[in-house]
Amino acid sequence: MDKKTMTIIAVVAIVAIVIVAVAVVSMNPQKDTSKSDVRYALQVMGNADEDTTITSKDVTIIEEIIAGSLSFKDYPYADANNDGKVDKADVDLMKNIMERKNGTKMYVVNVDVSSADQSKYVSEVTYPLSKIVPYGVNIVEPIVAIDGGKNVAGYFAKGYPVQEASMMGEDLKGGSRSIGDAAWKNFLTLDSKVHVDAFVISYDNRAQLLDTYVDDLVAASIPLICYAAANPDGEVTAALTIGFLMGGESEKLGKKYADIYENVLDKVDTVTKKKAEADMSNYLSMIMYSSICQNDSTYNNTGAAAGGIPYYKVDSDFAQLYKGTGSTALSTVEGLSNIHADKVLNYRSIDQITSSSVVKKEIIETWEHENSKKISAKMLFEHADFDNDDFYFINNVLASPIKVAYSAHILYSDSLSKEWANSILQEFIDSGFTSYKGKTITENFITIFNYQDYLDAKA
Amino acid sequence: MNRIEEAKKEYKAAERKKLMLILVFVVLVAITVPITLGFGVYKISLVDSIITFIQHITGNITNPKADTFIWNVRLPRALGAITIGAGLSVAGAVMQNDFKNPLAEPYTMGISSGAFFGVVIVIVSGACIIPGLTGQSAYMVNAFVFSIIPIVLILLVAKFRKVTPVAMILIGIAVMFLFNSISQVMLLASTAENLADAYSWRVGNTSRIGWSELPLLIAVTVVAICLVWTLSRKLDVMYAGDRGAQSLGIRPNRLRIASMTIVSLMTAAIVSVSGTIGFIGLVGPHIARMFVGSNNKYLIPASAAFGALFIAVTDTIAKVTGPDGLPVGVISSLVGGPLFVYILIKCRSKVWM
Amino acid sequence: MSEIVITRTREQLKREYYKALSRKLILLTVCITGILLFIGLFSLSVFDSISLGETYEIIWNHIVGNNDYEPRSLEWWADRYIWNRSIPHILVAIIAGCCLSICGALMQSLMSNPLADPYTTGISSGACFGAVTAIIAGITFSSITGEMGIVTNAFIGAMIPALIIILISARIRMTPATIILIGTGISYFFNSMVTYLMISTDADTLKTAYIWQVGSLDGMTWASVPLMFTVTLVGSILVLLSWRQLNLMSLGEESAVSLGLDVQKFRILCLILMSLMTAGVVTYVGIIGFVGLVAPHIVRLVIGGDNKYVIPLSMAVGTLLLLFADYVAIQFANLPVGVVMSLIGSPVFLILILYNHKSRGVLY
Repeated sequence: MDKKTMTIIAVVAIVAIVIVAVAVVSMNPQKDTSKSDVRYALQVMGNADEDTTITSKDVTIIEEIIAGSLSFKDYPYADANNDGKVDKADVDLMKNIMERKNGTKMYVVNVDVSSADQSKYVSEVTYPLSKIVPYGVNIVEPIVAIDGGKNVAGYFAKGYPVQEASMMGEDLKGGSRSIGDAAWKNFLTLDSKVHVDAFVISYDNRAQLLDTYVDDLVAASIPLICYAAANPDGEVTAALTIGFLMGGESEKLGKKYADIYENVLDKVDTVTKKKAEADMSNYLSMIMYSSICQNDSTYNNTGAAAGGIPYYKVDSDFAQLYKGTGSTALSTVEGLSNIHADKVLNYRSIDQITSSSVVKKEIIETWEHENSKKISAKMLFEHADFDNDDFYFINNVLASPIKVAYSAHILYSDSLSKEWANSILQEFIDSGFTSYKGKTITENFITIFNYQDYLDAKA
Repeated sequence: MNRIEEAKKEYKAAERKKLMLILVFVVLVAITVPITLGFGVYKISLVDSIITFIQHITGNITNPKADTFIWNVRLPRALGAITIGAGLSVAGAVMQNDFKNPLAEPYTMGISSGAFFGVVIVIVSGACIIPGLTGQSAYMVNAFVFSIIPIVLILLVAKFRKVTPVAMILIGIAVMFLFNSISQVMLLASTAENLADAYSWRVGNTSRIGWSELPLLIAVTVVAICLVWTLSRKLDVMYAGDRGAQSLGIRPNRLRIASMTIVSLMTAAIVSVSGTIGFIGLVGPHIARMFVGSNNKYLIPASAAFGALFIAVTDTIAKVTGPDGLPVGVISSLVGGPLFVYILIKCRSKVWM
Repeated sequence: MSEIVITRTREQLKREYYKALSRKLILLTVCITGILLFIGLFSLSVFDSISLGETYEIIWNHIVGNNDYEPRSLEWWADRYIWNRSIPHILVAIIAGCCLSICGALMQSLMSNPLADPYTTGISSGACFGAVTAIIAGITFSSITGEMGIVTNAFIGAMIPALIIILISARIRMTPATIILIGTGISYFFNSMVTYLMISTDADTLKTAYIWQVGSLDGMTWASVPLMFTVTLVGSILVLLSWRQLNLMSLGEESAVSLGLDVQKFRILCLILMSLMTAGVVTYVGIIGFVGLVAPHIVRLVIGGDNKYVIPLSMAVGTLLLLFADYVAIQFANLPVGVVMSLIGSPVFLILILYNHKSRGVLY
């Protein structure tokens, strides 16, 4: 063979090998061990990739950590049995978890209940949950929505009787914002009868769970589950995790809750990505007809999730005056005259209604309600600089994905229509969420209304 | 010039001095009112606000928004503030005279707890004494009616037996305790929002005063002050001692009840509009006494003038504290408490002890 | 020389003396029996699904160590609850009743004023200020947060008015009227700050702060007892031992001085003592009114004004009153005990002053 032939054969061989190698590599993709970046993960140990489900992907990650190719430090949720190390025991537990075996001990990650620091904390729970006691209206709503009402052994208060009609269990006669010794005694008596399997609380009500009550829970080994359900992300986390722990229909509905939320967030993202900094809408949150939410109030989180900028970030004078986590009641009609936010989101909790004629009354009453200082939302609006579609009342009792959708519509009405927001609520109705099943938007829900709606209602 | 002439001259000079002091207070009040128009949440400079005020009077409105705020919100509030200050201060002076007690104040008769009770009824149950009234008028009517219950009680008792000053105070205190406890029960049994609403009503707030409330408020206060001022000589005599008064032909008990009723009605009217503004009723007369002495002919106008000035100034401060202003009741007590203690320590001889 | 006619014989005097003494003893016995009965029959029966007999059984078992019930059964919970919560609750009610009424009697003697109560010097407004700052603003004087933060804040806050009065008393002469007036001024100041905090927060926090102020025995545990108990015990013993000086004070300032009592110093010492006692109670329980005002009056109505007996009997009557109000609050009203106390106390006070006024012409 002469030199030329050999060169040609060599080149062809190399090219052939390269092509074969590429083919082989592309047919066996790299194992996917990335972590999800959702803000509302399923908070069960074993959900190693911190997404919204437990799948074989999580098992793969655990095995990789055992094998040493991944680091435990990067995947803290891989330790399914919460013993501090990742080993075969975790893999065995994962098998039971994925089979949804009754009696499996699962480890649930919570917001820290023992200190103001919101770092994580783990409680041991026996699957499935069927006798919980919830406390705090922000966590009762998602539980009721995911058909969890049948798993409630006792409750402290029904804040919204129509919306929470499906909540079973004994009335412990507490308050929606307080527990008290009498209600706690009822709780203990209940536990002696049924052996409650979890105490579920919303983080904004944490302070009302006194240390002596927590001692009682610890002594009886009743796990304490706590999420920041006043925030949309926290509420979705609660729905997802508690649904998973209850199993069955609740698990499906919990996952659907997270999926709808993800859709809403994605839609909002596509709209806001296209906007320049200067075109982003800013918003002011208000509550209780005529109180302004302070800078770090949880009510600002819904607007933020909807892609808006809280007003205090664009007005430093306002930020200076409204420091805090609560709200300031306005006492003069001059109250809103210095505030030049793009939109005002006024949150008002209104229970589900029975007919559309009640809607008009409710709208008029909300706009005209005068507090003892003679201030109503109507007066504030008429003395300020807002247009009709800049100032909206939003029903706070709706699920967070729905609220975020409506807020996004208000903030970016040219890109996100009211029909789109209505479709989110309709999706909740169609998916079979318990407090929404069988209802219609016009007949049973008050969603958002502005000054024009008020004028129309009066006519 | 003999001694009598000198004494007369000194006396007249002292009287003139007292008149001058009262006039100084009045002038200060007159200056404060336009200045207070420039303060508030809505951003407008002092000069602009005065210009807006003048424009409204001449009918030449250039900035309708500013005009609304200055004319419909701030001006009635300022006028209301000086009226309330004057009224409460005079009421305090008369109460202290009637009961010969330095701690007497307009609310001693249980007026504020009665008014609060009336308001709690409206907030919790929506019911008003005059059925069908709602909103601000319901609050005011209820507050007024319930605040005069203690006075009515005392008048009833006085018809049938002699009522000493101590007995009057005790009845007032007992009624106050009763109303307070029932109000507490009603509020704690209802929602937190109602409690917050009732609490903020009570605090003592001039921001509710608009042109609709002002005429009645001014009328009642002016009439009451004038009535009481015409009684000033008799009140002086009564203060010197019941026996002495009787020997001079004055019926102390009747005078006491009459003067107390007049000022209580005025206080009830004030409380039903503004809530409980404390401190000025107790301390205003004391401070006025430091300047003009105890002679009611000068003390009553001086109390009125000083009270008006004090509330006008504290209201101005209140308007610009915090994001939405503070109620004037908070500022007046905040300033007044230490001021009172300081006066007690420094001027014990001049202040009544 | 005219004869001094003795209107009563020695025998008659002796009989009157014993009658008066027996009245006091009867009142004491009635009160103590009442307290024991009340605790035994009512206060211990507040765990609804457990009968009274079972409650005693549980307590007895716990004392002899025979209390390993099945976890999370009714007896287990009841045992836990009764020992960790009910018994300290009753103890706190007793201690608070004693402390407040003894301070009330002391205050009324010191100020020669029948309307004085332990809070007249502004202690309540200082304690409110401390507690409300902790509840609403989350700011604490020490670095302790949470429930203990409220307690420490309230205590320090309660001592501030007392300190102010003591500092001022070093500079000027303090008559009762002066003390009351200064207390009023201090109250104005602190109350206005409390009001400011209350109206600047949302409705639910306001309700929590309001309930603290109104006075509530909810949430008492063994941790609440030691401070209250020590302060009240020591204070009560000191007050009981100084009954002679208190009798002198009630004669009026000049008489007391002429009989050898250093009125100024005694008054200030009593104020300090009383501030500590009241602060110790108020920090845990809030401002429970009427006990300190009404209990001494009831006692004086029955046995007259001798402080040797008024002080201890006030403790007994006050305790009984508070236990009664507490029982009513838990069983019937589901309200804080301070509210029930004012509902009971207002008409009682009204009746007292009417009765006193009519029969004696003068109050006291």
